[in-house]
Amino acid sequence: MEIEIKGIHKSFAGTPALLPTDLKLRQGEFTTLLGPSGCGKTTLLRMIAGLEQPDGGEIYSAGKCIYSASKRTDVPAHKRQFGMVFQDFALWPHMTVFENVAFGLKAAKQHSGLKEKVTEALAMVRLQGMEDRYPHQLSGGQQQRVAFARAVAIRPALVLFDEPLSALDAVLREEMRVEMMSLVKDMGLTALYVTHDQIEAMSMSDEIVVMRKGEVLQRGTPESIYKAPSHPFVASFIGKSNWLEPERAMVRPEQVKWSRTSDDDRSYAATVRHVSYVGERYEIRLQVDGLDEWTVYSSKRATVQERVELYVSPESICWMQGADISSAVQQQPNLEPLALG
Amino acid sequence: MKPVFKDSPSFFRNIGIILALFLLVIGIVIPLLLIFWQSVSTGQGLDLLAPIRTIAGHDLSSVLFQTIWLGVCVVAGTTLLALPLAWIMSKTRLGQHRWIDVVLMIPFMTPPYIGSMGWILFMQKGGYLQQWLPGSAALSDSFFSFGGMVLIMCLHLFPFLYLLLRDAIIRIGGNLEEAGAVHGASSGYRFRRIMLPLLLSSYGMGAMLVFVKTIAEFGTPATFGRRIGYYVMTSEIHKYISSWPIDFGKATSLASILLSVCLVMWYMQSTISRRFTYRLVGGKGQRSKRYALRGLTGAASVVYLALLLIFSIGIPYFSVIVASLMKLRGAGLAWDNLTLDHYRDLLTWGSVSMKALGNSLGLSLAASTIAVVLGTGFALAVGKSQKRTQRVIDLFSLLPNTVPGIVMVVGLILFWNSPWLPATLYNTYGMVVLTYVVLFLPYTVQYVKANFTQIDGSLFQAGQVFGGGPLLIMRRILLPLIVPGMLAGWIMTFTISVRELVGSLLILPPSMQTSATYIFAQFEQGQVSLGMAMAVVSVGMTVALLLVVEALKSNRKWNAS
Amino acid sequence: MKKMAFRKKGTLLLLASVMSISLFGCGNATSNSQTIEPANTGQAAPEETATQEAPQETGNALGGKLVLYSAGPQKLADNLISGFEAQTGVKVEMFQGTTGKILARLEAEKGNPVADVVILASLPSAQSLKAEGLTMAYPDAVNSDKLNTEWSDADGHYFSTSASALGIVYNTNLVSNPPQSWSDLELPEWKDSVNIPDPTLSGSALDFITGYLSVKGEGGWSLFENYKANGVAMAGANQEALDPVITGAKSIVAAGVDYMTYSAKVKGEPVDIVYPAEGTVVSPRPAAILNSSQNVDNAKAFIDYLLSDEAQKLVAEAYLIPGREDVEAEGRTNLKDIPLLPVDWAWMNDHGDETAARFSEVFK
Repeated sequence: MEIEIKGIHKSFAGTPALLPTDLKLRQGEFTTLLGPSGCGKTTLLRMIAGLEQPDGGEIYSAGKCIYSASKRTDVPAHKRQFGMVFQDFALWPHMTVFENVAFGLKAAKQHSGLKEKVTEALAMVRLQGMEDRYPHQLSGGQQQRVAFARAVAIRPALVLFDEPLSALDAVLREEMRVEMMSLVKDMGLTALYVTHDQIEAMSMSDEIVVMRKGEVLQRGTPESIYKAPSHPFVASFIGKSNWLEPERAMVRPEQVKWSRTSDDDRSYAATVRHVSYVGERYEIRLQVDGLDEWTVYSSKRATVQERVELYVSPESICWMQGADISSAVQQQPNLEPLALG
Repeated sequence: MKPVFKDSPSFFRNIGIILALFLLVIGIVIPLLLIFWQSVSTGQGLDLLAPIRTIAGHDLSSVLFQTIWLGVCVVAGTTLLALPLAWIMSKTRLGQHRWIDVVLMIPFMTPPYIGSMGWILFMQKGGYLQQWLPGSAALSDSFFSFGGMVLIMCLHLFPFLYLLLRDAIIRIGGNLEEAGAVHGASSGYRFRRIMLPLLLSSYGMGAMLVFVKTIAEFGTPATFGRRIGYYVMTSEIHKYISSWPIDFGKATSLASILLSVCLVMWYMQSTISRRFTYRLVGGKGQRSKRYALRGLTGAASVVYLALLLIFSIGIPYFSVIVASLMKLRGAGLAWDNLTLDHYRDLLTWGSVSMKALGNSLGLSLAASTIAVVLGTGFALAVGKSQKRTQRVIDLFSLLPNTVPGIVMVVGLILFWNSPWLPATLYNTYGMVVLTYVVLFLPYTVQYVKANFTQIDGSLFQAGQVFGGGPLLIMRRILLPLIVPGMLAGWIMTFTISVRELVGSLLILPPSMQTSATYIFAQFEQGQVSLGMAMAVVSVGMTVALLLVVEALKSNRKWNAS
Repeated sequence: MKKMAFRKKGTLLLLASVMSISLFGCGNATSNSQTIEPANTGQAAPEETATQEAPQETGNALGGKLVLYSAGPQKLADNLISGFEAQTGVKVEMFQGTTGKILARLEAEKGNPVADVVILASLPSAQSLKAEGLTMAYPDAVNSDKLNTEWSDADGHYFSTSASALGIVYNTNLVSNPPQSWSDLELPEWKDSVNIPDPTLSGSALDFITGYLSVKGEGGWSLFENYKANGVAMAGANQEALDPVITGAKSIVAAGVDYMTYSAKVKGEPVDIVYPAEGTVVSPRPAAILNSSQNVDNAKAFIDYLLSDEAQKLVAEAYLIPGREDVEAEGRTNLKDIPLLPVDWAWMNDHGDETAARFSEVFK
């Protein structure tokens, strides 16, 4: 089922939370809204869910209008037939696992085959035998699975994920990420996923929409976003970026070479500042003469204060397009530290 | 590091527990036991059925049923008033106006008999309403009925239930309901299946408190109830204790029955609460969305709040203020019949009324301060109530809240006026303070306990790791963290003791008046206007004090937590 | 038995209970023994130390305090107290309440009595205090010979220093043709518009009811039963019955107290009073020294003060009937112009409690 968003926008108490935005979620695709907190991604998700009313624009689900400011159409949340996994799971503490999962079916009066559908959903998330437990008797990962099972039990047209992994610890987060992604793929669900974690976004999505300050900066496959960021903010937010020309040209760490491979390569002299060993390689922070700090990878340990020569081939350089330089400069110091690896 | 310091200041607790138990037994448990004792002991020995026979033998069973029926109806009525209000104040932008909450506390600060008098003066034949709208006579007749009494009491007591429900709704957060919405539940279905079960334990608590407060209420039955011939237990107990012919036997029998009813209610409530209390999983991101005041819902919310304020504050205070300004009570509403003379008489320096006002302030300050100190001590001794002794302290210190005030006061008189006591407080200022402290102790205990249980034990451990002794930890870590709870307890105790009537009527030493008994005496003396003026002044003072405290509080940084 | 008596003392003695006769006796015995000393000196004083006491009084040697429980108008009590304090230097502590409340408080404090003097609004109450031995005789009270002998004790146990008469109080705006007889209030014209004070709270109302019954006998009850049938409401103490009439919610108080009516009328309130021609009851307001008094000299001085010209003038200014027959009433109907029922005070004293209880039953 296809979801189409046209010119949706919203502001809170005069402050714009989302500028007019268009978005298309294709049937069976996994789309991620990625951006720092306050970028409007959750607002957009909640407006699609029907939990927040847009100031204007239109939303279509499978060709049917579910919201339109001009037509004064607003299908309430409970009639949109979506599923949602909440950030804090929002499991109902007074219901058992079974009742939580069965809720959507009961609310929609789908009483036939209720037990089978619930059992099937629970089996998918490997929670057989836990039907009679209450949420507080489950571990964090199990709660997450219940929340997922609840969202998909009604076979929704669209599953919405609101930073569902942020409440879990790092190990569990990785495990759940893999599990959830394969479930979504196996079931062929259309999914919209909100996160500020680029690893989640990169590993799960068919399409990533990078947002900042209520505005979509770039959209595309994970690969294209990483390899060809069109905006300095995108370049910095996703992966590590070494700037050749501030706000204009950038190279990824793995593209920086320790030896010249072609005559076209640009060369840069630098001083080693920090060396960290991360297992499969060394991550080296360097001060490049006349530029900012870079991060590069190496298979050998380098010595702090050592002078080195670095090479970058012109094809590996990403050039920004029509960058709004002034705002990018402002934005950069405010970036949250990213969870990389 | 000594093991006693391990997880929290349990060092204080062990000393505190014994002291707390001792004080609670003396202050609360023995007086209440004396009532049972007195009501079951006859000349020859014990007769456990004596109170029941008293009830049956004196045609008091109908009074008992009337009392319980009143309690049930008022619980139902306050629910109807408080639930929509709690929703409005937790879910719409109206809830962001802090002043509304202060204003909503006014009915509760108003002495109940003043509120009733206000309604009587407004609705009675020839009352203010009929002077405005002469055609409303039929309304007046139907108002002076059981329904009118329930309405007056609901309008007085609903803030209680409202505060509890509003906090519960905020605590539940918006996500659980939104999850219901996304998964296909209409608003009615969401309310029934999600909000209702989650609210049940808070509601049970609030309903129990409202029920106990209703059947413990004296002011409205003594004014409005007497007028319509609706008699309840408290008015009967008060009659047997304070009017001729006095009959302490009957009074204690009634009191012990009332006490039993309350204990049964309390037991039922705690069973329900245990059964329906859920740990809300996950504390992250529990934002609660507030709806803008647009459209039909917004308009309905504003109208509802406005109507509620008009009925609970506007009408009674209109009557009270007008009555306090009347030159001649027989001359009715007219500009030339208004005067400030009563206020001048009232506020003349050195007058009886000023002394009464001073007494009220002094007694309430003393009582609320002592109550806060003791209540904090008890709350800390109770801690997170793991041990049985701690749970016993918890139960004892909350007992006065589940027992009608008049019963507690009778128990205190029985105990403190016993001849075998080497020294007694009876007939001194101390007795009044003691009574207020005992009556209102539960508030501080509840507030501080709620505050304390939210503090993580690691904060104390951190204090110890950095070498803090128990005293230092208490002074620098514990106290600052529980100050908000203590302050809330203090305000509550002060507010209620300023207007306390039942206990004051029974235990004040001769030639001593508080503002509440002064008002009561003025009604007895026919100086209704003077009494009403005093009511306005003392409620005004309480509101002013609350606003000052509120202002101070918002200047403090700990409020941020 | 002894052990039990002790336990009884522990829990019951002071606060209770008219039900247990033996206990009652026991309680009296204790209070007698506790107070036997002041009682003796008090009683002995007049004969043996009369000469001693006189200079004491003139020399203003009184001091300390006096605890007074007073029913009736607070203004008058305040005035009397300040007059007395100015004259003697004795500090007066007062509990102000209705007769019912004062008697209840005395009962509650039986174990630790604190009151020295009581002023009640009902003669039978004082008679029963005397009968129980709770009052102290003061036959030498100055001016006591000028009191109405019918209302004061020949032995000097109580002195009716003022009195009020009961009548039909009505709102002059609502009632143009006031009823002239008690039985008029049974008429449909007055349906649901009449209040009557609660005799368990109002001593004067009880005096009226018992007084009326003492004249009419058992048949007198039909008046009150008819009142109830006609929607007469029992409404608290005197003032609580009167206030709705002032504001116009009710039209009439049956057995309303006259001095309250007069003082409201002087203020300008639309009320007035009728004394029915078939006669009414005067309710004397007796003052008595309690046997348990610990400030006997002060108490006696206070009684003397109440009977003095100054105090009687204050009484008259409060629109009460002065207790001394040689003092004129002010701004009100004089006693000699009020038609009276030939009441039997002894019968009224004996039947007060049961009448109040039966009346409450009728009106509940």
